[in-house]
Amino acid sequence: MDQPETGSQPETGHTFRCAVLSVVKHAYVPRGVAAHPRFELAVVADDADVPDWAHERNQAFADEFDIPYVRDVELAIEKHDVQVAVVSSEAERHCDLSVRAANLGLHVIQDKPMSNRLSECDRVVEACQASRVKFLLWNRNFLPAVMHARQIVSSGQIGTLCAIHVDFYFAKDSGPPKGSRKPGDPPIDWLTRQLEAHADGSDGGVGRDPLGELKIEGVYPLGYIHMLTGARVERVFARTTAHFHQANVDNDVEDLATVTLEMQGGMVGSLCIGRIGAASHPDIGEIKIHVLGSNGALVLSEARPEVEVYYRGQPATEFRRRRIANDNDYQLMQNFADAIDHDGQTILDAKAGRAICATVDAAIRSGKTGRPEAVS
Amino acid sequence: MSDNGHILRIAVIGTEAETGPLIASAERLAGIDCAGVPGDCELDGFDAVAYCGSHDDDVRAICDVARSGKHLLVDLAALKTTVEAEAVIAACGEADVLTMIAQPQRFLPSIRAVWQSLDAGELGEPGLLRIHRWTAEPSGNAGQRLLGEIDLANYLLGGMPTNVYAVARQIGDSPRFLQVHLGFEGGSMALVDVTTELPAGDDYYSLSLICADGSAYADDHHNVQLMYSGGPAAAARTQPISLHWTEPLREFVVAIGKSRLPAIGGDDAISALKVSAAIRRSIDSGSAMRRQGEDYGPA
Repeated sequence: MDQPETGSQPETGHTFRCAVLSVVKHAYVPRGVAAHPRFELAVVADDADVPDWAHERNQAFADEFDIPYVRDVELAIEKHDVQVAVVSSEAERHCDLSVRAANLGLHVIQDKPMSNRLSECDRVVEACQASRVKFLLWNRNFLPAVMHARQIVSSGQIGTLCAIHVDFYFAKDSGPPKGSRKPGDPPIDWLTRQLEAHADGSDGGVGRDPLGELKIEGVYPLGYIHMLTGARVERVFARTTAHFHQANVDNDVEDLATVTLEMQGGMVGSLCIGRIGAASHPDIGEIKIHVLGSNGALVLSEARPEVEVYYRGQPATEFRRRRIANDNDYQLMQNFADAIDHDGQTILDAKAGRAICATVDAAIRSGKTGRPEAVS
Repeated sequence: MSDNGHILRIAVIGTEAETGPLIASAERLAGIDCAGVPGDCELDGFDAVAYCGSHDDDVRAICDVARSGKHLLVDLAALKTTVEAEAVIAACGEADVLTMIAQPQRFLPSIRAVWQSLDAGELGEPGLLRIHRWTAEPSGNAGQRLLGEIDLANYLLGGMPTNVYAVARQIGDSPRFLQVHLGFEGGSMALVDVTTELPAGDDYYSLSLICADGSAYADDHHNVQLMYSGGPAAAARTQPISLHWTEPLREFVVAIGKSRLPAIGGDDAISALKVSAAIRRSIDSGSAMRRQGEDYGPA
């Protein structure tokens, strides 16, 4: 198929028609896209040979939005006059779908993680450059508190940055706790566990290949660090363990990790990340950003602003603290539209996403070797 | 008060900020009389000497005090190396006086609350200890502020780490920013960053302990009040008087009275100082250190 000219994009202010390429997670990405008035979901598409459960989820999403579901990605793109691909498949298929869409001239919005393989990220960087299309890796950089941090840092109020730390504890459960497997029981199958987790929206690691928390959630804190510092991570030292969940133990992937980041220009950073269990916090988790500058410092809670709600008979699983004024989805899509309209950069483009993936890759290596590892 | 009813007189050496909590704690205990004195004060008339906080005294001066027959209560932060700690312990042994190297930080109200929950089994197996300690000390040395945090890591995570990695950023000869990464037996871990570079004003402290069944967060960020005087609101921390020297002091006095070794002893101090030495080696070499017996070598 010939590559369309990038000049064929709609003019500034026009609506972008979107193809949702596989929507097998809890669908926050395509819903976020649809939250912006300039983006219209036109079709859901996937490959014919994906498993039945994936077809069922794709069909259900298409039905909800009253759009067709096509079991042929290239055909859907050809027939539905789309300019944007929204990729939300299993992690191991993310990059391949993005590359295919970019090669057909579509701008790409992709769910995290960018990939479980660095070589796949390289393919996306090359495809987006070759086709001159925009790429946005889904992130939370437009949360109110994160934007507040950005405003303070960029104003110079705390001077030149020396160190940055993100503590990112996700207070969710993930199936049976560690140590719960009885003698003789088979290990938990990763995909089966993720398919079960779809019901409560904790299926962030859906796919055949097991993913630890660094891969599943690492893009968020590392995205903050990327945005706030603009500095490349050069070397890491990490400790990783499966401390909470039997599925992580059985599949040899971490649910708790700490990473020392040695960054460009002598800056130092750290990341602490874990899926630490629902009992550990009254909302989605303790998530903090700490920044040290030459003239001051910043301590910021990612959850704020929030309100607290308590009432008799409140379900144990309901958050007592609730985030408010979250405009992240709209702002991400506005940023993406601006990048297309003005040939600018998105807030987390393919190169930045690849750099984050490389940092995670090095951290996982370091966790196994016990030594610092260079980020490639 | 010792068993024979004698009031124990303790000379307390350190800055006012360092000695204040010890003297306040002593006021709440029977049988002791504490007085803050300058480092070069005549110590006749005192039964014991307490060294609070880090200071520049030569450790030989502390040993001389022991040899003059005074019992010694030494803040861990006053020592820099295992050689110093062992010299103090040996001097006290030779003079047949009691020495107690205290870790008062373990008894800060926030740390006690975390410890009690951990000790009661409410939190389950610890997985991660995260500490940010930022102070405003224009000529400070982050290394001296680190030792108490290392002791806390050993205390809360149950022993010396197996793996040590650290990075530092210097201003002049002193490290002003330190980040220490520790791995422990069984997979638990600690990450501690310390700086002395805050602008003049309040310090900041945050400790999070993430465990298998729950977590504890002791964070100054949670404990600020707002003050409005035009412009952006100012955050002011409510700081009740801290009596974190009470337990170490009580143990010190009882041990003297009963002529027994203190329950809080030198072994934990030696452990923290060994980790501190491994941290220095990691910074100098740019490599991770791995525990080999009771010491550390390159990973």
